[in-house]
Amino acid sequence: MIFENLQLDLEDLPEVETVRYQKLAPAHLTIRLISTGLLYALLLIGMALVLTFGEDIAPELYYILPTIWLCLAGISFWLASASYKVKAYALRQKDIVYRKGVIIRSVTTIPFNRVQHCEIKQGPIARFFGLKTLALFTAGGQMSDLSIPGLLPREAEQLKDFIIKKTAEDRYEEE
Amino acid sequence: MKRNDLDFLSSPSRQSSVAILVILMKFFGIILRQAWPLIIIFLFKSPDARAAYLSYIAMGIAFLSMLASIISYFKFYYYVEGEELIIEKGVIQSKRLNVPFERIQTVNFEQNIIHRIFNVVSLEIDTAGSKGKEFSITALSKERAEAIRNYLLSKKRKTIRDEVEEVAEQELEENLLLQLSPFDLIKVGVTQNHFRMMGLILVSFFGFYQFFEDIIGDQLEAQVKSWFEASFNSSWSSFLLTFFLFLLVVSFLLTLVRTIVRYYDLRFLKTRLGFKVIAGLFTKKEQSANINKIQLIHWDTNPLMEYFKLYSLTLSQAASMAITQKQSIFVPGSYDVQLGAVRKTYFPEEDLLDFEQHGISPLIIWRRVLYVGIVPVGIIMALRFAMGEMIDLPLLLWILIVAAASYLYQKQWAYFVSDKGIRLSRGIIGRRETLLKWYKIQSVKVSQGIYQRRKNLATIDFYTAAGSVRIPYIELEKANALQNFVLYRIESSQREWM
Repeated sequence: MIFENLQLDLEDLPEVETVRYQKLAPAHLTIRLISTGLLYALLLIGMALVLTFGEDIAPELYYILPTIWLCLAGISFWLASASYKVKAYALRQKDIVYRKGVIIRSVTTIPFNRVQHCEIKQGPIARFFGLKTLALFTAGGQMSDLSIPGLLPREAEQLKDFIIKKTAEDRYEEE
Repeated sequence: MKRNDLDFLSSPSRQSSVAILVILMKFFGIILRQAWPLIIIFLFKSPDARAAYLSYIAMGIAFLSMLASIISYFKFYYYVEGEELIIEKGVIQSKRLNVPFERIQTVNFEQNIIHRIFNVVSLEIDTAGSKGKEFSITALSKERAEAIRNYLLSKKRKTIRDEVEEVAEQELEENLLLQLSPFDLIKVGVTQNHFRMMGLILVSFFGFYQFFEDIIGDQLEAQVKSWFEASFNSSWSSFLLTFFLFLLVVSFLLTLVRTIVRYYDLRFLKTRLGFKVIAGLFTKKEQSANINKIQLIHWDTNPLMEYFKLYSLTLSQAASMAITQKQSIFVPGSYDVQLGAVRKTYFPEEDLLDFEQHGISPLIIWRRVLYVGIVPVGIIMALRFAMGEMIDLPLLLWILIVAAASYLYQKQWAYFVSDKGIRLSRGIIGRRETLLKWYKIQSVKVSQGIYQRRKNLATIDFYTAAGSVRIPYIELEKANALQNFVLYRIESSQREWM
């Protein structure tokens, strides 16, 4: 056993690593692909303008730049689709868990009694697909804040209400 | 507190008239700092019509802003209304700032040289909240400032009174923990990290050089070149050595001066609510921290400091992101006694608990050598090779240095886990130790890179309201166990983290 000095049996504690995750709505993948596509379309236009109207362009650039563009676009699209498979959240009795990251996979847990504030956001592309983002803030600064995208409006509202209720309850218990 | 001492708070009052002087001095200070390159250009270059024209505009702007700062004094009022401190100010548009008592976190005094001549202080009020708003009153007589502070803090205590503060109230007196003597101060100055200062000097030196080259032109370059050639007509290596030694001496003297200016007559006090530090040669700064606002403590040491048995102590307080740095209480030149007192206050149970020691995985050595050593050196070598140049031996030396540093880093990384909190110790040449109580944590993150996933390792981050703590490259099983345990502790804790 590890950490034998602790006064609790670690095996009896609820485990984050075996929690059942809830996936994000499939339309979230579409949103990510579209926004990636838009970004690379803009880059393509910019590159084309530079290569067509630019002066003194080294001849090698005519194939180096497009190759770089193609590689970056490929990686970005792959990352967008791979990250969709990783992104998931889990609601537990006293906290919320969010998993993300393709290359560096991270699992962040925020206990409800540490939530300072939570809000529902929506970007322009997500509005078209009717998806919302739930943002949770703690006193731990930007790095510890959570932002869970790809939620159906009802799901987002329910999550927010649940978390606010839980936060209030936990505060109440303390007093 | 006698009632009549506080009468002035019930109706709007102005600051001490010294404020005008302070505002003006601050104003000229800013002008000098911002515009000194312009001033130098004017001195160096012969004036022409355009320059004269520009300088009239500059003077006009300066005069207007001076006027504005004087008016701002007459437009500034403070008073108490209900459960709030009100500040009214604004030259063109009047602004009214409300500071509810219960949101006040700390009330700090600051004195620069003018304040000290006229025996006034500036008052800074920090409030909690993500906006990071701060309120300050430029100049107040010392009596008034103290009356206001005591009043505000007593009001605040009435609104949130909890067990920690009640315990603390039993000891009413301020307790002097440490006062740095001139000799202590020199010890602190000598044991600072001089290489950091050296880096700073080098950076600003090149910055200045470029700047002067831009305005004065080739003259300077020729001048510097001939000067260099005259002084060092010998080989480059002896030049570099001399330059390095010269730089070292300058950095040493500068850090010494900086230490004296910053920490002159430093006094570290234990108050009934927490700790307080007062220090400074020209500007006397006073900062205080409430015990329950302190989220974690660090203490640093290096081989030189260890020789004198010195630590520099940092008490990190909860604050909004923008001002976290400012909110830390920093006490250089602490000894075991002071460190012990602070640890005892922050973590009273520390002595009684069983701390189990753990280390981080040796695989981190290889990773660090790869990312900091081999990859950058490989790229540089490939580029040089492509340009048809030789492969440098010093580059290979860099890999060896990184390897040695990484080895020491892994060997010396240790964390000590207990039921109520954790202690960490790490560092290559120096050592930084951190003490963190579990219930101060806001959220937990366990992350794994590709390599870590393959080797079943993980990095765990604990986020607090005063910065985060990271343990890299530990067994995944341990990271998960720690995560579950810490979450359980936070979620079942009845204690407020602040």
